[in-house]
Amino acid sequence: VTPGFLLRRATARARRAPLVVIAVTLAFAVVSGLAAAAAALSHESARAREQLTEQTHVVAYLDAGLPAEQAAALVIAFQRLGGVAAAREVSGRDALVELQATIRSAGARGDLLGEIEPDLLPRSIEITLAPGGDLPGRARDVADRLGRLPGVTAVDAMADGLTKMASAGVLTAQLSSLFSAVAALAALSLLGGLVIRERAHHRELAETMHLLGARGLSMWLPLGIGDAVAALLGGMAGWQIGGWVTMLVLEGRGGLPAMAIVEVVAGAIVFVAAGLLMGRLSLPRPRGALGM
Amino acid sequence: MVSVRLAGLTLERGGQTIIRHAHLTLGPGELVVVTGPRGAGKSLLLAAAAGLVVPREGTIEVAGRSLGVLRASSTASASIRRHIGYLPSDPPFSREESAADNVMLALAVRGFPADRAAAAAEKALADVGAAGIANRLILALSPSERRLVAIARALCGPPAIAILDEPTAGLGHGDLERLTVAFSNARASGAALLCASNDGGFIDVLTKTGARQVRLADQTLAGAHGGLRVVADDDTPVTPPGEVAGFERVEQRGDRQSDQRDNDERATNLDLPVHPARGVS
Repeated sequence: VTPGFLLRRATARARRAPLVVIAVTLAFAVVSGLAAAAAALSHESARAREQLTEQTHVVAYLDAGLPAEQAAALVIAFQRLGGVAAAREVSGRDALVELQATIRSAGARGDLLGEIEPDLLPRSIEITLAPGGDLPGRARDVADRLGRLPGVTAVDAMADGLTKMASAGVLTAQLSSLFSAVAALAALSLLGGLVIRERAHHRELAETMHLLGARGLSMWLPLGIGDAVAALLGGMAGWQIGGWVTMLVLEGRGGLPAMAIVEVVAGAIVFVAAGLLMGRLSLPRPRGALGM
Repeated sequence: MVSVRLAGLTLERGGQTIIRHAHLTLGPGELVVVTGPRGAGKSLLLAAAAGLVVPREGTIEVAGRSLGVLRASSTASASIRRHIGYLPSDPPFSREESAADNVMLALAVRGFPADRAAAAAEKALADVGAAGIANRLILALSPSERRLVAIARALCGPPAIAILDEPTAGLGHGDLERLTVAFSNARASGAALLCASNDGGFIDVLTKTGARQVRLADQTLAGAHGGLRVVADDDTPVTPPGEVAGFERVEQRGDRQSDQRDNDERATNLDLPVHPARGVS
């Protein structure tokens, strides 16, 4: 049995049963699309966490009479603290400039705070937390330490915002897990159902091939080739469509993570292998003795 | 070279010994017709020769290659079965393919060159009078048309040996003449033919073309096995001295009454003569 024979059988099957090929393609597209949605959600969740970490500051407002040396010593002490990425002293003037920039980026007029005196805002120490888990908890911990220090009049740990954002992160991760589970269930039910249907359909073919003396690959590979092509096409298309749909649902945010060529090839191999396995499982074992 | 050789073959079905110590040898171009009552073990014998039934004892050699020791759960290796064209009583098909595709599938598995397979399939179908249905799907064929396709599939190539179980079942008189010609063509190409049939007219025609006949006959006896013994008969030389006789069938007598009733029915329906035990070689 030659490669030509296998390809002829595979194409003949696709011509004979186009609906089955379409069903296999759609099944893989659905499974892959759900997996893509899970990946996009997970990617968005990770991106949001990263953004959250970058923007998370604990701000300690300093007493106006605190000497500059003491403030600098505090900054150095906090820079050495575990879980702290950076610490810097922000003057009242700098704080106002940053506030104006923030207001402008939000679309408001830049001169909105123009009449405010430059020294209105208090001096502060701005602490950026290191990336990692339990950001709200760590922010609270740093805030407690800051609050006990002499010369610190108030501390803003952004506790409410951080908790809400952490909850949103957990929700996104849970959604991602849910989509992964649905994708796995869809894979089992859709592909399993197709395999069961095909096994019943191919029972006589298996007997025929066995009767003729066909063996091993020559028996199931024509089915496997067709299913592998369908899986590859359906899987790739489903992945892209799943990513687009998720991005639409998230109103432009999210999207699929960028993939290296190695990952793309690995994904293609997984789809082809799944298709071949499906072809293998679609052909039942012949009874052998033909009713003897 | 011997096309098929069965030596000391003992076959069981459902835990009962059906055929004991059978010997049969066919050379290229030879035709042997196995006859006998229903249940005598004709189909079982043919399936064993096709490598699809594991014998309890004995050896099977096809196209010079022994099937070797078969595992209880397996059948003869595919590489040997490819030399065999087999028509079982209920042949399976790839039903969604055409008659010609089914024959071409057999040719492909037998290693027939792909560029000549279409012409060979067409000829095989034409030989059995099925040229007109070559492009029709098996699903759309009548049972007798499917039978013709299955015969063409068994004879195409041709294989080293074609084994055909009741090939004329369900066929008309015109088909029988075609079959006789197809058998002759296959034999002329060097294929050995082993055929089971109870079709008297067909057997007569085949006998005239030089076919040997092996009859599995009933003979009730209270012999050493206390059961039913079936012996083979043909015109070939007897088993070499000292060797156990040709076909011998033994049934367990768990239900003597029902077995006796079966035997009586056979004796009524088939007027089978009692022959001395002979070997077939």
